[in-house]
Formats: sequence, structure tokens, C-alpha cells
Amino acid sequence: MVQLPPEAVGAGQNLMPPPTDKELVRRVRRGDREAMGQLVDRHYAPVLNFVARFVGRTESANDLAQETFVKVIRRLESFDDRADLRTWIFAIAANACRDAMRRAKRRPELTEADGPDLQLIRDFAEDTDDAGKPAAMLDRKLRANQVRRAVASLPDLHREVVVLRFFHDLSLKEIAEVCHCSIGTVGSRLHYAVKRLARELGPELGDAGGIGDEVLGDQTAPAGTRG
Amino acid sequence: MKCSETRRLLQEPEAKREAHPRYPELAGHLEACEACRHDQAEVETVSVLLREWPSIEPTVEDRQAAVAAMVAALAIRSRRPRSLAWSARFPAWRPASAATALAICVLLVLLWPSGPGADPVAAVCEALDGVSVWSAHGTITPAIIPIGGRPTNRIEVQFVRPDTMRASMDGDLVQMLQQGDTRTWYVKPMRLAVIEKTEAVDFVKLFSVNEWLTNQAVLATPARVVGEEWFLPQRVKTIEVRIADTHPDLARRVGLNTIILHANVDSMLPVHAQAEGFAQLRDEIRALLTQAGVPLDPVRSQPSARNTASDYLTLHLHFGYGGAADPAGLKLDLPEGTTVLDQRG
Repeated sequence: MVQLPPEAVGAGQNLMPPPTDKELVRRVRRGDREAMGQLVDRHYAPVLNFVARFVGRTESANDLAQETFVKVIRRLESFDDRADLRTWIFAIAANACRDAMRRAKRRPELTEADGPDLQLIRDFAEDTDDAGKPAAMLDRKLRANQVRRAVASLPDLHREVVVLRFFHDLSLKEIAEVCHCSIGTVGSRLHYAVKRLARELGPELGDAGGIGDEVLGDQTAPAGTRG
Repeated sequence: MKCSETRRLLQEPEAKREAHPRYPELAGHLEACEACRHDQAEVETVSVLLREWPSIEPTVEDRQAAVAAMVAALAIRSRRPRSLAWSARFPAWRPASAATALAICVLLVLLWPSGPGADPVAAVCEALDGVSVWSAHGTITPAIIPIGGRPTNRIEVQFVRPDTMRASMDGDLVQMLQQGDTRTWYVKPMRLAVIEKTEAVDFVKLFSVNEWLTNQAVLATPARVVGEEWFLPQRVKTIEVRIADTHPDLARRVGLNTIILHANVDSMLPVHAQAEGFAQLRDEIRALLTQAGVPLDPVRSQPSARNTASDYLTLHLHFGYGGAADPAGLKLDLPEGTTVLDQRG
């Protein structure tokens, strides 16, 4: 039996299975606006989160995501139907991010990752929803900020693979397509990025009562035991 | 199973890992190999820790905006015949060309001597004497009086090695902002007159943000809102517009890469526009200043090895209309060894 999304069932008006990406692409190529909406519904959020984490700026993420979808529509004619649409869109988004970062380097601005935790505390003070559990909420926000900073501190090439692998569950082969490199290169970048993140985040969040110590245990890699 | 294969498999997402033909061998290898167990723990730790970074949920408006941008892009693509010769596209250049010409006019107007006793060109030269002058950035100010605000003109200068440069300001230092390597000083206003004939130019139309944004044949869409800042007493939205990728020749021809519009948030009328990489405009300005009798050093190319943002300090001088002329309001003290990129003679 086909599993329908809850909103479709709830609406009670569209009991057809959702169109596949291939069908969507075919309809979008014909200029079907509804299909464009479905394409955006399906892929906008992942792209938005990818660009926000890759570039490290939430405030410009929507612009970049929008730019990505404009490029998608412009290049859709050249899309090979045998390829995976999600990977292809991520590749376009990644290119848009690289361009944006190049521009940002020419005209450097403060990134979110440079921002002090004071802003978090200020936000927290203004957030009435946090009134119930102030310490826990602040702690959660601080942890999120630590993670954000650690990821932002990675080299661009490493950050890109980390975001695609851990936030979007792309396989090494798919990441290689997005990054235009070999699977071995992806593996290597991922290896070093994971080592660095584990080193930076494990103890820090573990000290704050986090989960780092529980999962990672001993931080010292055993030497000379490779098979 | 080798350690390298194990490590590669561990890096795959769980679903892909389990579907791998050699997955059954993984458990056995991990049991026997402490180093790979450690790698596995690291991957799992990082995976769990990264979940602390919450996702963003796009709003309905965000999605609608994306769809609208796609529809617009599709419409443009379908309108434009692919085999059209370059020369046939020339009319599409007109708005950007007009903007370039207008920018030159505005700068000419702002810098041209007017009225008895007033010599804005000389005043600017005097103020900037001893420091570098035109960088690769041209700045233009449409003569629109913003609501409740004062129009400003911006001139940019660049120095090498900000870490070795010391700048001292006399006079009224209104405000100083620092962002990364760029420092912005707002200094005492100087008098820059406006020649009456500029009123014949329909600035509002030419610089209407909507005009820029709807002119999608030339300009890349969507325009990017880079940020907002307080440009007292008004809030200003910074919008970045680029020449569309489909018009590389145009960008090259006018030497224009990016246009930054600073638009009043309330009225969406530009406070000023800034064009990056405006090399041609810069040359025009130099020619005009030379004609006006202002001695200029020949343009020297910037040392490419140092041509990075971190090596330069950019100083933006904001001049307003109607204030008292005070060229002595700015003094810059450059230590020995500081290289001035493009110094006025």
C-alpha cells in the first residue's frame, strides 16, 4: 500500500501517490506551475538548510536557496533523467554557495559564527517561550552555537562533505557528484573532518553534560592496531 | 575485510551501509579491530552531536517567492530566442548603459564647480591629498532626497596593509563602524553642489529598485538582499544585483560586476547605488578631473600578490549636501613604508 503524506490524507482530496521526481521534472519543463510548487515543497527545505550550514549564514540562506531554484529551472533542459534530481539540485546549490563565499571573501563581513554568545543570551531573554526551563533552553542554544561554530571552522571543502553526509544523508558517491571529485577524496575529507569535529566537540559538549563522552568514550586513538 | 574498506563503509549513511553487500562482514571486523571501533565511535559521536544544530523550516512566503522566481526565470527564457545574434540583443543593454552614463553624470555633477566661491573638486582633492583616491569602486548618488534623510555621496579609498596604518581624524567624527577588514568613517559633511540641469533626468525612474529588478533581461535574478543597516535616520536595505550570466560581454564591456543598491526600506527608493568593478567609470572620472585641471598620477596596477581583502583598508568617505565645506576635517597619518595604491598628485 502506498504511504500518503498526512496532509494529503487529511485534505481528503488528493489520494494519488505523490509524483516522482521524474514526473515533476517532465511537468516543470512544460511550464506547469503546480509542479514547480511541488518541486519546491519537496526540495526547498533541504536546499535551504544545506546552504545555511555550508555558507554559515542563516540570513542569506533564503536568497541562495532561491537562486538555486532559479538555476534549476534554467538548466532543467540539460538535466539527465537518469540522474538523481536531489543530487543534481544539491550540486547547483553547492556551486551557488561557492560563488557566494568567493564574493564574501572579496567583501568580508562578520559571519554568524563570529558572533558572541551574548546575542544568544539576548535572544533568550526576549524569548518568552523559554520562561519555563530557562537553564535547559539556554544550554541547548549554546550547544547548538558550539556545533555551528565547529562546523563553520572547518575548511570549505570539508564542511561541504560534512553537511551533505550528516545533515542530508547523502552517500559518498552522491557527495562526490555534488563536489565534482572522486569518492576517495570525499572519504578522505570526511575522515579528517570527523576527526576534527570529534576532537573539538566531543570533550567540550561532554563537559557540559553532553553526550560526547558517552558515545565517544576514550578520545585517544589506539595506535598500531590497524589491520 | 580491510580497515580501509571498513572505514569507507562506516562513512556511508546507515541505510546505505546496511544495503552494502559486505555489510555482514562489518560486525566481525569491528569486533576484532580496536582502531576501526574507534573510528566507528567517532562517526557516531559526530553524527549525534551535529543533531544539536536545529534545522530551519522555510516559511510559506519563502516557498512562494522561490516558485515566483522560477516562473519569472522560465518566462524570460521562453521569451528570449536562443539563436538571437549578439547585436540584436543590444537594446537590452540600454538600462545598464543608461545607468553607467547616469553614474558618470551624477559624479560629474557632484564634483563639478558650481556657484561663486564653491569649488567642490578642489575641496575634495584637498581633503584627499596625500591619500589614495579612486579605488576600483565607483560610487554614485542619485539625486533623490530620501524621506526624512540626507542624501550622501560616497568616495572610497584604499590603502595597503591596514595593520601598519594609523589613521587620525580631526574634526567631527560622526560615526565609525567596523566590519571585518572594512572600516567606515562618517565624517564632517562637505559642500557638494548640484547643478540644476540634472533635474531633467528622471532619477526616480532610472534608479527605481523595481525598474532594476524587473529588468531581468540584463540583470541576474533574483536580486539578493545582502542586509539591512541603519543609515541614520533611515533604515537602508542593501540589495545586490548582478549582470545576468547570459550577458558576459556586457559585464566585460562596461567593466561592471555587481551593483549594490542601498534602498530606503520604507520607500524602496535608492539612497545610493554602488557599482563594483566600475573600471570604465573610474577612467571617465579621471578624464573629467584631468580636464578640470586636477593633476592625477597615472593609474598604477595593484600588486596582484597583495590583492586580497585582508591586505587593504577601505575607507569610505560620506559627504552630505548642504554642510559647511571643511576639507581640513580629514587628516590621515600614514607611517613610513605604507604603500599608497593610487595617489593623487
